[in-house]
Amino acid sequence: MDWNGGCLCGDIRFRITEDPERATHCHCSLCRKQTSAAFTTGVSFATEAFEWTRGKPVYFRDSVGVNRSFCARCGSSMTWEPSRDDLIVFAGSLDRAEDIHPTGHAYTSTMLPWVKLDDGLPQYPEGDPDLSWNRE
Amino acid sequence: MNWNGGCLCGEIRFQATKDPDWVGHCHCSICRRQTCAAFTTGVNFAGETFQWTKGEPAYFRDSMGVRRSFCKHCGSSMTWEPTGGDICVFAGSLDRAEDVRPTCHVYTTTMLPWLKLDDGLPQYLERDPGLAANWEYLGTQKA
Repeated sequence: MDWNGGCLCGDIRFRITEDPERATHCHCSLCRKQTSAAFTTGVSFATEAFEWTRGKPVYFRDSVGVNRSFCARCGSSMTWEPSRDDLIVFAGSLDRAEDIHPTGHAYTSTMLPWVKLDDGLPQYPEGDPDLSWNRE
Repeated sequence: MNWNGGCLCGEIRFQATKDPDWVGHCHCSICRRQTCAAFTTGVNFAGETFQWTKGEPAYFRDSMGVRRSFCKHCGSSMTWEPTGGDICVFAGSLDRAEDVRPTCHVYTTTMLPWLKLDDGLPQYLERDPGLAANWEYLGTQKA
């Protein structure tokens, strides 16, 4: 099933033609500082299944060397692109954000103390060990 | 006590010189779509206590007529600025984000179903009814 999404102002749209491989909440300080939210929810897709369908985002290379896309007009932060093969879409940019199924929390060593969860999901102090770029 | 913060790349910095007067989690669709996170945490400061201390952010005026700041270089979303003088800073941009004390959830009508929280805070379907109503935006009457 296709997954569509984009930024707040609508200048940028994207489509993914396969289901996500995984969805993981991330509590790292970089995600927090870029979105300014308590944590992000990363939905990983195969890069080959993803395409920008309207407009092009701008990129910022973060301190771990990973490109993060955002819309130059409205500031929506849409993707985190850790490898040639995998791309993370932040859940809030998806038109059907409600339909994903997060399976864990990564980087909980830096989770904010006032985030109180009751979702029963595993918490990893650092990266989700099942994501390929954390194994490399 | 001063509250300092800024964007991911460091080009933009700000300072608030008094404690916030409201802290709450927002589940509205506009916050979600701009930050692409499940929800935001707004930390509201009186405008006269807030200043940009390094760089200037870019602004986008959302569909409610409220401007939202972000860094042109790294894309960090930092503030939501309703007319009326307040500056609502998103918690993750604060250097001491761990020190804020959220008191409620707003706009839970659009909360994502997979978000399972256990913080005991009140959940308001729309805005916080106890909030001083000086946030004027389209569709909202000033109290």
